[in-house]
Amino acid sequence: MIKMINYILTKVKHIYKNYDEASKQKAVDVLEYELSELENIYALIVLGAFIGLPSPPMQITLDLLPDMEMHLIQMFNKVDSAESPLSELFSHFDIG
Amino acid sequence: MEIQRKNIFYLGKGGVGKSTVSALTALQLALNGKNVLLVSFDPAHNQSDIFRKALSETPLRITGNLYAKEIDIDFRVKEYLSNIEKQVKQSYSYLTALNLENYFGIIKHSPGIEEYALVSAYSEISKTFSDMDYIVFDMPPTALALKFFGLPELSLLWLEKLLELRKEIIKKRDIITKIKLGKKVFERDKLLNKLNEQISGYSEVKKAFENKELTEINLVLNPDELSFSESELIIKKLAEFNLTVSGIIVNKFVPGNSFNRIKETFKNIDIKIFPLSQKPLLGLDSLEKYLQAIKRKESSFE
Repeated sequence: MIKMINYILTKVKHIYKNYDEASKQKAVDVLEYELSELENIYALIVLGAFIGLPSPPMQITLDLLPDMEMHLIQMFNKVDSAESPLSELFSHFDIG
Repeated sequence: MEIQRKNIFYLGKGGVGKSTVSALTALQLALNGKNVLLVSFDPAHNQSDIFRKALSETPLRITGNLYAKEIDIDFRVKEYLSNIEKQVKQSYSYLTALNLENYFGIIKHSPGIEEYALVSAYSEISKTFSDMDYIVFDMPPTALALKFFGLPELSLLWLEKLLELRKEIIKKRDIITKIKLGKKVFERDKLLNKLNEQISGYSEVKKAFENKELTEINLVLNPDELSFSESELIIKKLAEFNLTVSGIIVNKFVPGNSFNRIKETFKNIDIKIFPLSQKPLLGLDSLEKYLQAIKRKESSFE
């Protein structure tokens, strides 16, 4: 009987642990999506001059440019999903 | 002409005689025993012709303790861009750097680069020649001169907004790391550091411009309608950047010109008159003679 209870408790703990990890992962996924969107906004503001958007004085962009490779790549990648931003957003929030 | 400030700027409409007035002021201060550096920010570079000496980026001794140099804006822009290009090539992977290479040829013609070259030259000169009693700046015509004075304020507006956004990004990144690793990990953000560096640089320049003990902004105008209205505009624009004009020099003044309107419009500003010279003011000799002549005449205009 005790053996069975221990077995059930271990299983419950295991299920709880998995559930906890899954919830954490989901929360992190949403936060990471938010973070990537913020980085993208940041890139658009700083590097806007390269694509014809209003942008800060050129020397601000140029001084930051050497440390913005990741942002540039992200901007190029965003071009692929730029046509359907809503579908990208829905997929991140598991809607539909 | 005894002035107790460090950086003296002369600005005004093109052709009013900013370069001549700057040269005369610098020479007078040097004759008074002060160490003076005259810097030409005007791309037209008239100081070489006025002193009849070939000036360059390296200060040249004109006489006694008067030195002069001319800023080569094109060279500075080129050097700045090639430095950025080098940094990009070092820190980027080959393909990204390759895509950007084409942009650098165009960037040198971007609006804002010229005034940036001037602001960075100003910062460099202020630091390098801190042993001078006076640095006299012969400014470019109005449009570029106003952009020069406005750049620190405008840049700070953008930088503060970018800093806010960067901090929000870092905060979010910290939360993710904390959830993933269960503890806070200190990560250095290069962009945040660069933003802070830029903010501190521009704040320093802005503070120096606003400090009346350190900076004196003077307007040069001629007794004619066009330069008069442009001077009014300059004062208005400078006020938007929290900067005030300390003195007005009415250059090329001929007896009989109306002085009352200038006096009434610019009530709280110190006004000086530089009469029209009968001979061209070229060469040290004629400049010195002119200074002696206006010293004698000064009392009669007051």
